[in-house]
Amino acid sequence: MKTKMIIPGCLALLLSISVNGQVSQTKGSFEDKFRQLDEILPTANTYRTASGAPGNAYWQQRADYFIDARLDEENQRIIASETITYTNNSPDILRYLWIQLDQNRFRNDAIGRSTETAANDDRLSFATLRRERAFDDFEGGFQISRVQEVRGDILNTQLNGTMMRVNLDEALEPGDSVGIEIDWEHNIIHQSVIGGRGGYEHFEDSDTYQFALSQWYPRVASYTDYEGWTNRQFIGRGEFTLEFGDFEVHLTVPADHIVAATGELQNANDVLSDEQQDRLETAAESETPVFIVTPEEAMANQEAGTDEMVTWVFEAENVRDFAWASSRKYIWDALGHQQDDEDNPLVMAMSFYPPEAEPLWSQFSTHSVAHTMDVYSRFSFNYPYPTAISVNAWEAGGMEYPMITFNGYRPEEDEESGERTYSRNTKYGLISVIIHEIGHIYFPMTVNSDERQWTWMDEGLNTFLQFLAEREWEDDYPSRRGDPANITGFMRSENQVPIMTNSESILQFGNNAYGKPATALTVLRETVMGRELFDFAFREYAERWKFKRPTPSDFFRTMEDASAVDLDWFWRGWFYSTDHVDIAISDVREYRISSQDPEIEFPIEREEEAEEPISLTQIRNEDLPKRVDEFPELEDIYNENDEFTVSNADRNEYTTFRDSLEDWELELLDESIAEGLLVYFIDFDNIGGLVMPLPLRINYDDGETQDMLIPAEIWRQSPQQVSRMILSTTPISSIELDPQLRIADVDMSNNRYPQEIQRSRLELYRSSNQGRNLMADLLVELQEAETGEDAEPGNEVPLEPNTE
Amino acid sequence: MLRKCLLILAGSLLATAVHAHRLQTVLTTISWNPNTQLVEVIHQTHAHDVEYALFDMLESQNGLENIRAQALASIELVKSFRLWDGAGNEISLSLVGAELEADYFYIYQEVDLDEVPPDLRIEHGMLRNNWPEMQNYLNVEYADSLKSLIFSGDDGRKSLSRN
Ligand SMILES: [Zn+2]
Repeated sequence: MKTKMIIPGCLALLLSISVNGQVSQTKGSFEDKFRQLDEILPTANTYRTASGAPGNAYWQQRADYFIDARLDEENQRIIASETITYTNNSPDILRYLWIQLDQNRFRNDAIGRSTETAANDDRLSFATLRRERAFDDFEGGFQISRVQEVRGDILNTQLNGTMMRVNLDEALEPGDSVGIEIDWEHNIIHQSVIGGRGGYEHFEDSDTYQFALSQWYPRVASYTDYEGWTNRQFIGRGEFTLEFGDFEVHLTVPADHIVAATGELQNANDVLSDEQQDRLETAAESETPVFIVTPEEAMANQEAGTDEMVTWVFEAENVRDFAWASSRKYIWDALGHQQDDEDNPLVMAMSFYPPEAEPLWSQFSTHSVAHTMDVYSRFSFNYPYPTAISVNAWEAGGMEYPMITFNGYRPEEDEESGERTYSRNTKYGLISVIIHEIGHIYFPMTVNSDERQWTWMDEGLNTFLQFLAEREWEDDYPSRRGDPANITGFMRSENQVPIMTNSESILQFGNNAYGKPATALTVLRETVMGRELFDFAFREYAERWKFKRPTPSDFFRTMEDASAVDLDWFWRGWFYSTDHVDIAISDVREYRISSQDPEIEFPIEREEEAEEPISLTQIRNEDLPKRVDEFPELEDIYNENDEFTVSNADRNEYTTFRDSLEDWELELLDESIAEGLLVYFIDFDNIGGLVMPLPLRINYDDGETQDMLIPAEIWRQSPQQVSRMILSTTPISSIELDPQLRIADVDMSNNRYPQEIQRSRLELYRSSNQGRNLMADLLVELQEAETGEDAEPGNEVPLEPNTE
Repeated sequence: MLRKCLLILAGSLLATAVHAHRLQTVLTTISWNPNTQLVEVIHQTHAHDVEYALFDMLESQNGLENIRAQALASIELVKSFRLWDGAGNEISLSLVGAELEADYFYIYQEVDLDEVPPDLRIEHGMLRNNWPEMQNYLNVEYADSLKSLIFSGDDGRKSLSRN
């Protein structure tokens, strides 16, 4: 809002005239791809240093919560009250607080709702109609009945969409705290109809529910040094940035429910059986998952039913949010993850899932949780909390909160046999989503970046680490994002905006905020900086901003500060522009060094000319009578000796040339000639615009190959076209640019010299025979079987003119 | 004047997926291949999305792992991808095959044309009825430019020109 942003449409203009119009190149067409980001990045201050670290006067606010909530399962409703203790650590006097009411996004008059755009040609799908109707029938949003200062008056409030301003009776001075009590109720959304990050799921076969509660209580908005109140409306995509604080939460639920939540359970004696508590102790010592509630117990539990209620009490320290899940369906397993850490030597990795999630979940979920911590802790910091939980929410789920995540993927059930099986894609999909969501507990739940402004800061960094963790799960793990080759389709497409674009304005969300930044970091680590420099700098960023709130410039600056690698060109290209990588080897020229000695060089030149093809005209004219044959007097010395005959003048010229050279030059010349040194000039064209290092593979005539990496700085004075010289004593047979697909080059057909015919994916498929013929036969058979059947109805709503 | 129209609903419906971290997409590329002198259409879908959306018709216990399931899925999916040329004539694409690679399920189509038609109308409904938030991306490669379209929400046919 108050930070500097780039308006997507103006980007090209912005770059071509150089940044913000403060500096402009008005002569020629040179574009300084290596221009420092000074004009773009915010000026450093005592809160955020120019090195990218928190400054000596860094501050952040604090919000502690006490919440008492009751789950009305029958009506899918929350009835609750809370006390927020808000501490003003800023140097500013605050006359009001802003409270985020994210549930108000589900009110029919919400901004997100009223700005939903219609389809391009008057169509309506079933899904849209169902959702519209559900909104009509559903009363969404918080119903707030009381806002009052602790031991004080009812406070004045002003509601604005998903934000509520609480006007304080007395301004809050720096260093002071204020307590605010809020009573509210809200209906829980039916997740599969309305869509959202939480809600309830109804299992029709058993008429049972599970509840996943997120953004479920009024949360105080962040107040920051770079933006003031972060009170941008919640439209649906830009997630949150929140203040850290301690939570004590009392959750009253049906007595047969199992509750999973942020924090540690305080009253196990009241809510768990002795046996369950014993099993928890066993699990704490176990490297593999141990059932706390077995599948059989969960099946029995979901059938019994009860009218009684019981209260689960959780406490969590230094978290920015609190979420929970509750159901009588849950199977529960856990293992103890040990780490070398003073505060949290033991982390309970746990999973909660309905019987419908078996046999997949008990095998993979908790192991995935523990694996994530193994890998992420190495690249950032030790897991900072005592528990890490994966809950199997609805199929499409995937959402993170401190210590708890909601994840999709379930086996499929065969209708006839009732047997549940899962595909390879479901298995890896599950492992990936759990790694991703547990990974979010590091970024942004601990490194508290501002998701409402910058989705990439948590999604991009986290997708990058997810890629690393997948690679450490097993070789050839089928990762979706992270490999440079996977992003080229997006990078070349027209409809895109720079990564540095506000969350709500992003086009191609997944590619822009997840895939592209994750790929950028992979390229940085593997190709631009190298693993050692990158890993140190990345860990430094994580350590610096752990439990603090970084902005993009803090990340950009830290990565340079800790590595001594100038990366402004990289941020400029990958984060501030929509350029893509397409570099071509446009020409290669081979030279040998001439001795200038006519006795040596002329015969070689003669030979070379003889090898050149004879022109068609000459071939066809061969039988024509020539004048010189008819009049021999026309022949002279030049006809007797060709142009490669050595004359005295040539010999004298050679002597003069040798005499003109210094001794060292002569020595070098003779040595190079003796070795048969060859000189190659390679031309590179930058077609896509992004400057990148040049990973080259040189193949020699003798079968040897050599890999070399030319740093991106080769482009610094000529970003469109550069030439590079290579010396070799062995002739080069071919040169490849980026043979290992490291730089996300979108067009590989111009990456080789001499050029090779590039085969398309479809051609490659055709030429591979694994199953292709069987597939072709099947296609014919199945398509023939289908002809004659009635055409399938379309999936949209056909429109017909109304004749009334 | 308010035109009155008649609306008929059809089609099936699965779960919605309005959430942050698993965004359903299909990326389709149309290009002319100088080696084969054919126009190629390649759809890159996410295998799990296809399995989830088409589970009942795949007749397979292990999703797209078997060739028959892949054939069934590709026949079904290409029904909702249609092309017309500038004159409004539908371009009939033949289904060449499909394959799994990592997390992706690729579907291949082609048609015998001398070039990618300079004007196209495209319908790209692939999987979009299953996930309202799904977005389908289309890249069309012309000799010296690339044109893109995004299909989202209830978007129907869209047009695209080389120039
Ligand atoms: Zn995420």
